[in-house]
Amino acid sequence: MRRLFHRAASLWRNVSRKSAVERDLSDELNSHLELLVAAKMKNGLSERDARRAALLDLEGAEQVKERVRESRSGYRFELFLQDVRFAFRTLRKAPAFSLTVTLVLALGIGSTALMFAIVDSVLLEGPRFPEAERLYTLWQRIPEEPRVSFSPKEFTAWQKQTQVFESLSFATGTGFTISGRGDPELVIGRMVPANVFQVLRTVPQLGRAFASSDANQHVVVLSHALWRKKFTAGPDVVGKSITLNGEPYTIVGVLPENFEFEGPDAALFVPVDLTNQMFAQAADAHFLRVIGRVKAGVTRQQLDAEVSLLGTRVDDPDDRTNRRYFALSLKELTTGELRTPLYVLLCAVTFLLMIACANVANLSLARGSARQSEMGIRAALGASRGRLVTQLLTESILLALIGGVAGIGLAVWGLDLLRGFATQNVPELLRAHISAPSVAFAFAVSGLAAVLFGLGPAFAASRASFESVLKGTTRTTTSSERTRQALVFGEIGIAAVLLTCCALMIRSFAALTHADPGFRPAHVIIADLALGKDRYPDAPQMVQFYRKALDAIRNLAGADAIGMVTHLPFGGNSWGNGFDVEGYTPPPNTSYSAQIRPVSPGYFAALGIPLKQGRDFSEQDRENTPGVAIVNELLAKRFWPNESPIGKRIRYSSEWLSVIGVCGNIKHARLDAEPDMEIYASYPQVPAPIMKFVGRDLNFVVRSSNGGSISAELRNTIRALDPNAVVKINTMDARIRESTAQPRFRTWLIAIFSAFALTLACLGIYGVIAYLVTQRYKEIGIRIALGATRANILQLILGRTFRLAALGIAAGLLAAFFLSRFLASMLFGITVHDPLTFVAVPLGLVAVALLAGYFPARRATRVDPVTSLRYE
Amino acid sequence: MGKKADLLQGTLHLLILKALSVQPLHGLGVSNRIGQITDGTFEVKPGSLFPALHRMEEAGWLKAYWGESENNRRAKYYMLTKAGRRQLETETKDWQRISLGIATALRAT
Repeated sequence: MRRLFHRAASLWRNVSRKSAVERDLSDELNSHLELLVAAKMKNGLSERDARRAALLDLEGAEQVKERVRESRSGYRFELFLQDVRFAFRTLRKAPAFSLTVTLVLALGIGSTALMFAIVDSVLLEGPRFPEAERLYTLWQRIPEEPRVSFSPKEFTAWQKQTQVFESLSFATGTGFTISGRGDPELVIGRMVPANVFQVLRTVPQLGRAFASSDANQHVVVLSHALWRKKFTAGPDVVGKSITLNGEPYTIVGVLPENFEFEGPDAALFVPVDLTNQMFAQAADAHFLRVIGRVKAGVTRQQLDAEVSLLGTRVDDPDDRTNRRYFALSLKELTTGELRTPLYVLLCAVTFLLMIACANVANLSLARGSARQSEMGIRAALGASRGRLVTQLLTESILLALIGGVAGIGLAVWGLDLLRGFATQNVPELLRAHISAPSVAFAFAVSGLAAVLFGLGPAFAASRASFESVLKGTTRTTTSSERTRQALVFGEIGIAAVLLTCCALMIRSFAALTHADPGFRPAHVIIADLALGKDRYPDAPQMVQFYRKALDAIRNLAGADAIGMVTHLPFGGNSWGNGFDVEGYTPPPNTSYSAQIRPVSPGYFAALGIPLKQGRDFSEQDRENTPGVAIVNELLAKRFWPNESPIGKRIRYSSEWLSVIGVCGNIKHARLDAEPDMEIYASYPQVPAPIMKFVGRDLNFVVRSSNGGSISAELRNTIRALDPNAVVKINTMDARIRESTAQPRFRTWLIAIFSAFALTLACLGIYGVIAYLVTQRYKEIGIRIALGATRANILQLILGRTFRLAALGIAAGLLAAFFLSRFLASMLFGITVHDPLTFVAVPLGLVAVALLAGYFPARRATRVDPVTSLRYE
Repeated sequence: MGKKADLLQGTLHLLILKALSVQPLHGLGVSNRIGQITDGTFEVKPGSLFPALHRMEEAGWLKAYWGESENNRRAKYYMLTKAGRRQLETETKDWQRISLGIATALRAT
């Protein structure tokens, strides 16, 4: 303890009063010398001889001083400071080198840190609920749909019988029109049992969670975002009233800011229970997304066992279904779709970082060979090899640190940019933030990069020997040249892999945007509206409104075709329902479901869906006329492969409908999905209890060649009929574009990374070829003197470039050929070994590589033989 | 310069502590005293003496002060501190144990 104190005190003295300590040492050695001289003179030597002998005995005052210094506390620290100071000086003296390296590193580290931050907050962090690992969602799988929700009947049964779940809850989405606070606005709300916040273990920021007595009462809990927007974050909001669908609701609570359940767009939560009329009427409809908290200590195996057991037990024996039940943890649910793209992007940035490191190593090597004489001289003056390596490593660590800090700045900026660019369509990005782990990751990466690119060149440079420097021949040249070429080979190889993946994604994206949705989206305007419960309590009022609106819209100038639909493709909601075909008994354990779309006459023409057989609905297909339906080709071919479907009967509710027409298949919500079976119904014929539930959100579809003016007129027409209606006008093209936002986003990201990679690889090629030209300056001069033409020289240098590039590209393509299958799930319309990609990428790369080599090659052709022979 | 034994690692500290146990000495004094008490077996060169002295001072075993030498020259003197005396005791015991052990080992047949 005391010793430690002494050491600390000495360290402080050595550092803070360095000159005094040095003077003291010098005085001590002088006095030692004088004492020695005096002693020798006492033994009879003359003063001159005594002094000479004394100096010999001392064996060099400076050397003794140096050894004392080395033994002092803080010697290593001082050495380190010296190295850092020296490194700063050297780096300042080579600004082009330092700046390039910092930039390249910042780019590599920055993009890696950014990607890691996204992966960290989206994939690794998961949902932010206490003990979120105990939260599971329940699903069913049928052949046509991989993820089906629960019906109220099933939910009730499961709730009674479950052994592993502590509590079960659910959510079902519905639109709410908020009026009385500014313009009426349609928001997405969730109907939930009163226990949902207990299941999630969320405590509202203001007010309270639901009590069980709240079920089916007019109370509401607001999201943080809605509270800010509609109540400007006023603290006195609890107890106030808000008008939803024309009815007053009392606000009982506001959720915390980071609360995210059922998607970021859930603006409010309303408590219900299954006695609610809505659930009672649709006891077999699958629209409850079930979530539950398993008891502590329940394993995944126990959970899965119960889920499959309950699945068989609860199944209605009459309903011979082939449903499979399964549980997904909340984390799996929220990150499932993003997992592959994010990991692919993380791989891409890691590749980018590798190229950046290779590039920096390359630059350092080039600089190392330029500094060989300096190293040689320092070695000759007594610097040990360890000392030189430490010095060079300090330089690279310093550069890496600066690059790391700049990289984090770049990542913060990049994330902001991405957020602004993509939050709407990639809501998960909202959660992303540059967290402590990602900063730590960036520094770990930069540290590793420093050692990686610092160590090799450091050893190469420190190997420089005094003689070789003096002789002017450096024996490390060939080996370092070989290392540099290997590095460039690696860079080009990795760039080729990245570019191949990028090209595949771009090709796939192009295929996606050119995919045929099955209808003609151009020139189609959509009016999206929601009807409030106050003015339209039941189906008759709703149907009446549709009629009036359709008549008014039909008369708009410029409307070539118009129609109405409750579930628009790419509109965000869907209505999947089971159905029966008359005279057809499905095999045991099979059930079918189709997309049901109540539409008006003219819908097919307005959206541009081809009618293949039969006729469209007409105004005569009304409430009191025989029920009719139009089915799509997929359904028709499946059930009536060899006969005309016209006149056959089908039902999705209790009433049979005659098929009057067959239309083309369309894509429902994604361009890259297969079409579903579809049943179109004439809207007045939809049974009233169902219409009341499905008909509140609807779309008018207008085909018109003058889009601009008709949008405004469309809005005014609807507003004139119902001033409280929430109307959103959009084009069908925009709707489809939104559906491709995620692939577009990731294609952009990977394209940016690939562009960086290509630039860096080109820099590498340029560096190596430029160095080659400088080295062979004399040789080129001789060749020119002997009559080589400029074309010969160009050919010589470009030949070298080509060989260097071709090897790397070949290796890269080979790797890409095997790696591209990891992209398979993200590709659409092309194979993972898309021939065009695998031909175009190498050709393009060779061209770019030759361009990078061309600049130094052109310089070589301008070599003046006379100067070149005098060169060196 | 005759045949001198090289100093074993660690013995230098013990010898310096021992040399200073009687009275404070300056660097040359320490070196002469070691030569004297070891019958000239060890000769300590300035290149190892001064680093050792400084290291021991930093460890708190020695205290340095400037004083007058026997022939009126300014010289830096070193004296043992309490910690230094304790260190001398422990190092002496350690050394005796080691040398006894080695002697026993060498006697063994």
